[in-house]
Amino acid sequence: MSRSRVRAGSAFLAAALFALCALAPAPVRADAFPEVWLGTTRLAFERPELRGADIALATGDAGLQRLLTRVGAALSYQPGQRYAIVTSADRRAVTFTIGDTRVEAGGIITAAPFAPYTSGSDAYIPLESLARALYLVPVVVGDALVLQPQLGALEVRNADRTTLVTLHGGVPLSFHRSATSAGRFALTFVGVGSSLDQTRQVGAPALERIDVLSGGAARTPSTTVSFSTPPGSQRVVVTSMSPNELTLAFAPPGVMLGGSEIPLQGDAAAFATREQSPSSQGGTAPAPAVTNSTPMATVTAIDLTSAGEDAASLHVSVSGSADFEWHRLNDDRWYVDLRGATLGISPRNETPNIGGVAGLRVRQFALDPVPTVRVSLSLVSQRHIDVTPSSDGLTIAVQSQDEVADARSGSGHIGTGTAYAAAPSNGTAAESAWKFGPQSHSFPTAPVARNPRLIVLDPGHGGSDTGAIHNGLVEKEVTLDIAERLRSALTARGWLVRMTRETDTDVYAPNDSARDELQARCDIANKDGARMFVSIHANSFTSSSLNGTTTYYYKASDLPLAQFIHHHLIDTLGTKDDGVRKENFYVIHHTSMPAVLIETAFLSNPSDAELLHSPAFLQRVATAIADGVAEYVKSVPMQTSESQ
Amino acid sequence: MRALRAIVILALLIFAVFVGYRLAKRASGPTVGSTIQVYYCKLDGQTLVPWTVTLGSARDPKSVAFYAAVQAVAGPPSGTDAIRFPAGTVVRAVNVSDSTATVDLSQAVASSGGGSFAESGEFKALVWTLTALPDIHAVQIRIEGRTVPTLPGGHLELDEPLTRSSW
Repeated sequence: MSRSRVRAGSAFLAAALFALCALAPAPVRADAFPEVWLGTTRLAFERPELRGADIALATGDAGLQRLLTRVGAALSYQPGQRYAIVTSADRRAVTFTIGDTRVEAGGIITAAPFAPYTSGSDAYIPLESLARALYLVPVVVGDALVLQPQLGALEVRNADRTTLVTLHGGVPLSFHRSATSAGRFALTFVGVGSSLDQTRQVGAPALERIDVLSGGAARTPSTTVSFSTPPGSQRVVVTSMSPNELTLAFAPPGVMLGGSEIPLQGDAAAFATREQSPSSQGGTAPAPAVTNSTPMATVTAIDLTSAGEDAASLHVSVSGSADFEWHRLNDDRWYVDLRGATLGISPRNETPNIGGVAGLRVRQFALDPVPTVRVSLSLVSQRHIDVTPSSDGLTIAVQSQDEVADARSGSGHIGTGTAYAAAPSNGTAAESAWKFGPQSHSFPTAPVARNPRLIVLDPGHGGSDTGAIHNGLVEKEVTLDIAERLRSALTARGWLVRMTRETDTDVYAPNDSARDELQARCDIANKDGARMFVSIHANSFTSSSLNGTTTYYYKASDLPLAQFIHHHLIDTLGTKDDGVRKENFYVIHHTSMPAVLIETAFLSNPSDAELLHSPAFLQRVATAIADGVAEYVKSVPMQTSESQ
Repeated sequence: MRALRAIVILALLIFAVFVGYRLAKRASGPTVGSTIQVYYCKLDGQTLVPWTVTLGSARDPKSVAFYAAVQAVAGPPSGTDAIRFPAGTVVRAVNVSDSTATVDLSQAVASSGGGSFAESGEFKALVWTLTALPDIHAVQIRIEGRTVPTLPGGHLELDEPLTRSSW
């Protein structure tokens, strides 16, 4: 993708401003503070200070906050900090540094007339530099200073035969469209001036040229942008990230082009944030691809053999990768912890009396936060032990007593994979990435449940908490509908089912705190010793393009349940597979039994939403979860006793 | 006599170099260079992508942590598809102690309308960014100065510090 950017012509702009400042008579006297306007709105600052020809604004000034809100920007500052940073609507960070005249915005450094300074708990920042970085040009009009919103940048991106043009404004953009001649149309932006080059040759298959013409008074400017297109070119408006941007897409006849028809008049806000064009991915610097997987491994066998008269060899077979750490205790005991591993065989606790090994114990030492298998040895006397990791496990060589026991601990890594391993690049070449996700598909036994026939269902949200609302769907209603269907399906198969809520209600109390509400849901399952906990949700996002089904787990004991349910959901629903993912979600963390949180589909995606409107689909969701539960129970037997 | 003078000049030179080195070292701060890596999360909800931003002249750990947090919350410039914190989200404060950065965000962070997907991507990017800095291993989130169990109507547990291994 080629990419070029016509920035305002900063040098030109700066020169023009300085010329303006120089030519205009000193606009203010120290005792008569200038009025400051944003277009036709007067801005009232509480405690501005004059600094030469410029104005210093306090970070805590409500007038500054109002200005920033109007232009879609936000200021981050902490008393005592040396940085005060304004984030523009198009997500450029405009950085002011206390004591430093340099102002950085989106990689471009300019010099402010004075260095930002602190007074009390405020930092004072230069208005002119701030305004310019936010595409507002200060214009002196009589005794007043008018900040004139600009079309500050025009971005042209060519992808295949499609050309995307994004106009960046200093304020939310509104426009009306006109055709100036065949193959040429124009958008006029009211209330916006321009500091753009007048003509931009594009030379793309569907867009030849862009002309920019601005006029009007300082407070009431307008700018017309004309697009010259070859005959038959298609043009649409596609959605942008903020109301201050308008993105148009151009393509030759025959090329598929997604977007909306450009209306005769409209606001950029109507096309903002809900959708981002897929062709605009990845405009940033790449770095090496890296995978982060929680190390996940299974201990598949333990083999203790004699190695001569007074020595022994213990081989721990491990599939997957894990970290290990061993310790020698003072009283002839020795153990190794395999972190990131689950026990795929029965726990062992025996007295083999082979080669100096009096006792051998193998158990799942911990499941949370990191599943850990501990192998403990009781030795007949202090022994030197060699620990050798290999791709398929760990060999522990207990030497004869002639050798001196020296090291007290050690650690290392088992398996071919590593916790942080190079991954194949995803999508475009040189894409940089950290990826998450479970790797293991092997299952330990399930923990013991006091009430092995009970499943607790948690319809997400409810009562005062509606959850997300999109496309005529309310999350709390969808989740309850699915849960009721699932209850019927599970009851028919012989399960006892308890719901955290059976109506549209808060589980703890109306308008309660998030903790009380979520803990109350966990308590229901924990108190009754349920075998499983299934929380049902529907997803949402600002971009309507995202869709699909995700099943979340947190504890190691959740993973098998999540995987079985997810496979059934994906097999039967026809939704996009967004995977089984580990996430520290409250309700799956604070439940003491295997628990999952299912994001069935995206309310915010039109086609997913259509599915969620369909009772037949909701029934399929319920049946798939019930099938997943059944397969889980068959495949992952419950431990018969914890002390085994 | 000439030898003595040479020795004195040499000693002065060594002293000057030493003082200059100490001053330069103090000015540049301990371990942070002129750039830092800021992460954003792609729309797949899983892939974290780093980009490089240039620091201003303040390089002390507290300033750098604040700078990094604001950059991560701002996200990459528009035109890049990323899971983003809601517009208007402000970093109110960043304090670092005992290798934990406490990041206080404004209420606007809760305005995205309840999606576990966005929450996860946003906070993952913030945590990855801050823990890429020297001596920061965990991030405690606060909202308007208070520790919260989750975002209102949210899912991701925020009352304990988040680390890279939280995911």
